[in-house]
Amino acid sequence: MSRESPYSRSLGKSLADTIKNSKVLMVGAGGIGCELLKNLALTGFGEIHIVDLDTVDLSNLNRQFLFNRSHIKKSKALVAKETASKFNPHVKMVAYHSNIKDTTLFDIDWFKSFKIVFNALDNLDARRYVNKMCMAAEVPLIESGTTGYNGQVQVICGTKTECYDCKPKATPKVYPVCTIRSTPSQIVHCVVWAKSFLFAQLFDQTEETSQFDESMDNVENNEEDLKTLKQEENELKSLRDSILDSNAAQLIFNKVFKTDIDRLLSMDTMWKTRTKPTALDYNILQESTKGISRNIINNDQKKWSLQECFVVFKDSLHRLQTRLKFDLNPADSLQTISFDKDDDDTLDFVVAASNIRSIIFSIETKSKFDTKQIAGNIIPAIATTNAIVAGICVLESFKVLKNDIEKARFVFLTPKHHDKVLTATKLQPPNPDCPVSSVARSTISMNTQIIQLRDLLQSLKTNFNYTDEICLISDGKLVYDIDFDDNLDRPVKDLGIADGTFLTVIDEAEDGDGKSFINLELYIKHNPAIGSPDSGLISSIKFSHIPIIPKRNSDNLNDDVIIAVNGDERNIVGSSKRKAPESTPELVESSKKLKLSEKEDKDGAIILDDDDEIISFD
Amino acid sequence: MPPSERDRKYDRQLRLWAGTGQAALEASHVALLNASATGCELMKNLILPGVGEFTIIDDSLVKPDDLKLNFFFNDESVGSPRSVIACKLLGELNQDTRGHALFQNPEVLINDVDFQWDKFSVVIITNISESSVRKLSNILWNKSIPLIYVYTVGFYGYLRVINREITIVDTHPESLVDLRLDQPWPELIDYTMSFDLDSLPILDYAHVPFVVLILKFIDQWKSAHNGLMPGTYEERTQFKQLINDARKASDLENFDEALASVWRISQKTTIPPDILAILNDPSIDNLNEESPDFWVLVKALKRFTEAPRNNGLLPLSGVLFDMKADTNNYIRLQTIYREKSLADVHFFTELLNELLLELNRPSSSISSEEIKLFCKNCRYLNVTRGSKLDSEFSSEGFRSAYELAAFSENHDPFYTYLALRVYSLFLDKNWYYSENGKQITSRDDVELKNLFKSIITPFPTVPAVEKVFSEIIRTGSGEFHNICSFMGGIGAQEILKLLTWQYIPLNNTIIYDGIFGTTKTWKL
Repeated sequence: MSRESPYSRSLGKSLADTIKNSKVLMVGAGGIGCELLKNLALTGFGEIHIVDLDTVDLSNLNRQFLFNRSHIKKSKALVAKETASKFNPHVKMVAYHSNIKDTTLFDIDWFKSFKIVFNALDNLDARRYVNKMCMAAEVPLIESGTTGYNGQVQVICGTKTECYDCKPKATPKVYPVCTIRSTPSQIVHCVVWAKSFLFAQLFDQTEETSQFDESMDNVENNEEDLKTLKQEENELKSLRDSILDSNAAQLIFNKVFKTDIDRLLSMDTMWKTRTKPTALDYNILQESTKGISRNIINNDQKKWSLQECFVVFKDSLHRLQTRLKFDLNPADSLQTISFDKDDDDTLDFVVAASNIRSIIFSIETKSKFDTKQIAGNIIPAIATTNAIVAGICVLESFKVLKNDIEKARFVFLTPKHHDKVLTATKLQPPNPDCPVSSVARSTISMNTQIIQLRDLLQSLKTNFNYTDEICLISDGKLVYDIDFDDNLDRPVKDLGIADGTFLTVIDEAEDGDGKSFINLELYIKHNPAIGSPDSGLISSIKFSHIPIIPKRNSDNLNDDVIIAVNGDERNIVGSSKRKAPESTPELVESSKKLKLSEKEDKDGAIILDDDDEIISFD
Repeated sequence: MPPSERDRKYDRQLRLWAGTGQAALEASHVALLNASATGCELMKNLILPGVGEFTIIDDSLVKPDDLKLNFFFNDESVGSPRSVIACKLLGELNQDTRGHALFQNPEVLINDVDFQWDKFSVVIITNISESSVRKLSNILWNKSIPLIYVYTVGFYGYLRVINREITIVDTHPESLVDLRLDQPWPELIDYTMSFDLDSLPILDYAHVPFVVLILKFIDQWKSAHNGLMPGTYEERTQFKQLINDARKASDLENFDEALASVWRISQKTTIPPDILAILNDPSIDNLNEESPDFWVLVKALKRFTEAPRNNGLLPLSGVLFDMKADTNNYIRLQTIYREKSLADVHFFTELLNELLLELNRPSSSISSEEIKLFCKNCRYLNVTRGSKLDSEFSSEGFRSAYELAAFSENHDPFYTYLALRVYSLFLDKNWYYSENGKQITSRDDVELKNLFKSIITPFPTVPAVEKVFSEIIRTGSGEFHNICSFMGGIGAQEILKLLTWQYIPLNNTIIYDGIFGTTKTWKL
C-alpha cells in the first residue's frame, strides 16, 4: 500500500515532490520527537534520520507513544524507528543511538546532507550545539520545546533570521558555596546539598567536586571558613572507604548531621542574624524510631517526620551498600552510583538527607514527590502539548522548503490565554552581537598533528590581513593573544584545535572610528595526508573560502528580552534567592535573575549542570 | 500495576493535575463517534495519560485511503472494521485503559432512543452530518454530558465544545498570593509593630521582610494624611519617595522589593467581580440535599463574606512568595499568613456545617481537603456555561455571526468560521461526498456561494470567505494528517480540563488556520 506523497493535491505537486525527495534530521526522539516522527512519516518525507542518546524510561510512557513497557531501557532512537516503520514501511529511516555532539559520527558534512534539521531536544546544551552546527553547515533548523501546557517553535534560517543564541537564555541556577554548605535558607539548598554534595561524595566519585577557588570575595567567607569547608569535605571523602562497613549509617549521620553542625555552631558570627541549626545524634534518634516501618517510602505525598526520614536514610543507605557489594569487582575499585531521579534507592537517600538537613536548619520540609521535582529538575509533560507543537513544526517546515521564510513564524503555544492559544510572531533578523549568528565563517583543512600554532597564525594573517592583535579561542579556551604566546610552538591539536571543533578568531584591532571586524568562526577539518614538514607547512593550510569580514556595529548591545528555555530540564531548580515581588513584569524579572546569577557566579558559586551531573566551585 | 509504579509512569502529568485530577481521569469513560484520523489522534492523547475507558463507535471498514491519514491503521488492517482496529491499536498504547469497539453506524445510534449515553463522561464526534451533531448535542445537553465536535478540512481545523455547565475550583491561577497590605489583621499589625527600624543593626535592617516595611510606611503615611492610604498616582510617587528617603543604604534588596510592590496597595482587597457574580448566582437560592458540593460551598462562602467579622472579605489563601528576609522572620511571617488562613478555613467550616445541617446532609459529607482547596482557591473559582448548537446553527445564528464578522479585519479567522459553516451546510446537503470519499471540485464553488447567498441577502462580496472556499476546493476537501494531529492535541487538551475539573476550559469554539498558523476562540 502506498503512503508516498499522499498530499500532492493539498500541498501542491512541487512541494509534495520536494518533501518526498527531502532527507531530514530529527534530533531527539522523546516527547516531541515521537509525534514529529509520525507526522514527518505521514507527510511523506523521503528519508528521516533520528539521533537520540537516551533510553526509554517508564515515566516516558504517558506521552511517548512509540514506546511501550517492553522497550524500557532500550534505545529511544532505535525503537522509535522500528515502531514508526511498521506503520509506514515506505519511508527510509536511519536511527543512531548516539550523542549528537559526537563529531566523529556527525561532522559538518553530515549535517550539510540534510534539507532541514528538527530539534526535539530537552536541554539547552544540545540545542545550542545543534544550532551552531546548523549555522555552520547552512542548514535550516526548526527548533521546538514544551513545558507542561506551554510550547514554542522557532524557525532558524542562516543569516536571514535570529538563531537560537541570538536571544540570551535563562541559565541554570547557581548557588553560592556557603549557602549550600553552611547557611541554607530554602529547601532547594538542602536538596542540592544532599544530591550534589553528600550523595556525590559518597557514591559518585566521577563528580568533580574538589575545585575550590580560594579567591572568593564573598564578604561572609573568610579564609578560615573556607578551610573549614575543605576540612569537612576531606572528612567526608575519608568516609567513602568505610561505605561498606556495617556502621556506615552511624558514621555518616554523625559526621554530617552532628559534627559538622556543631562546628558551624561554634562560629558565632554566622548566627547573629540567622536561626541556629540544631545538631542531631544518631543514638538518640535510633531510640525514638522503633516501630516505624520503612514502608513510608511508598507515601510520596506525605512530608516525612524526622524519625521517618531517619528510617529512610538508613534503609536507602543499606540498599545502596548492597548494590555496591553486589557490583564489587576487585579489578575495579572505582565503584560508583549516579543520582537518578527515577532510581528510588538514590532518590530516597536524597529525600531523607535533604529533609533531615531542613529540619536541622528550621526549613520547611518537602514530600518525596516534591523533592523529586527539585532534585530531578523535572518539567511537567503531556501528550497533547507535544502533539500540537509537532504539528506546528511540520507546517513551518513547509515554508522553509518553499523558501518562504518571510511567512515563517516564531510560534508560542500559551493555552492559558483563552482567546488565542497560539501566538505567531514574525521572525527577527540576527542579533548583531550574537556570537553564533553574527560571525564570518569558513572551514579550514590542515594536518592538526603537525601544524603548529605559529603556522596557523601566519596563515590567518596572510589570508585575512589580520594584524598581531588577534585572539584565538578554541572550545571556550583562549589559546592565543598578543600577550599570551606560550603555545606558538605546539601542534594545534594539543591545544584542542582538532577535527570537528570550532576556532574563533577575534580581531582586537580597532580602526579610526573605534570599530573592529566581526569574529571569524573556523570549522576545523583534520587532513592527515597533507602538510609534511618539507613541503611548506603554511601553504598546506587550506580554507574552504575566504569570506569578507564586515565591521562590527556594536551600538546595539544587550536588549533585556529573555525567553524561557522551554523543555530544558535544568531550569526548574528553584531560584537562587527568594524571588522578587511579582510586580515586575515577567521578562524584566527573568533578566534580573540572570544578572543576579551571573553575579553570584563570579562571587564563587556552585554551578549545577544536570546533564553532566557536575558541580564546580568557581 | 502497583500504585508506586503507576505514579512513576504518570509522574510528569501528576505535576500538572495531581492525584485528584488523575483519579478523575481514570474514572472517566470517553466515546468517539467515527474513527477518523482526527478522532484517533485525539483518543491517543487521552489514552496515553490514562483515561479509564473508551468506546469507539464506527461501522465503516478500513480503506486504503485511510492509511495516508491515520497512523493507527496499517496495511493489514485494510478491510477490517475501523472501530475494532482503532480500538485494538489505540488500546495498545496503555494497558491500564479499557477499550471497547462498537461496530455500529453513529447516525443510526444517535437516532436510537434506547441507547444509554449516561455511561460516558465526554462524547467526541467527528466527520458526521450536521443534523446528527445537532440531534446528539441536544440529547447530551439534557444529560449534562459534554460533547466535542471536531473536524478538519485542508489546512483548517474546527472545534466546538457543547457543555451545559462546569464548575471549577482549581483553575491554576498564576499565583495565589494575597498580601492584604491594605487590610492587615491584628496579628500582622502586632508583628509589624515589633520592629523598631531605627534601632536595628544594618544587617538585620537589610533582612526586614518588605511586607513589614510597607506596612510600617503606610502607617507613617496615614498618620500624616488623616488616616488615608496613598490613593492617587502622585501620592504613590510620594509614598515611594518616603520609602526611599528612609533607606539607610543603597543596596538593600528588601527596600527594592518594597518599592516594586507599592502598586499593590492601590489594589483594594475586595471580592473580584467574577466571584461576586458566582456568589449571586441563582444556583445557590434553592439548594437541597442533592445539590452539587460546589454550590453548597459557594453558599457557605457567601455567608462567610457576609459575616461581620470578615469585613466583606474572602478567606485568605495563606500563600506567600519568597522575599528577601532572614529565615526566622520569613518563617514567622509565613506562619502569620498561614494561621490567618487556617482560622478562616475553620470559621468557613463552621458555616458550612450549619448549612449542611439545614440541607439534611451530614457535616462530613464534604471532606476537609475539599474545603481547604476551595478556600485557598476561592478568589479564582470558575463557572463556565456553554450554549446549545440550535441557535448557532440556525440561519438566524449565522446572520448574527456574519454581522459580528463585518467588524473584523480582513484575515480574521472569523471569516474562516463563516466559510466552514457554509461548507458544513454543503456537506449536509451533499452527504454522499464524504460517504463515497468523493472530492469537492471547482464546480462546487458555485453551490458554496449560493448557499452563502441563500442565508445572507443581499449577497455581499466577502473575499476572505471566498478565499477559504477556494482553499477547500484546492485541497479537494481532503484531510491532512498534520492538521488532524494538531486538532487532536487541542481537542484532547480541552477534554482533559473537563475530565480533571481543573484549569479553565475553552468556551466554546476554536478555529485553526494552518496557512497563517493562527488560532482564535469565540463564545458563540
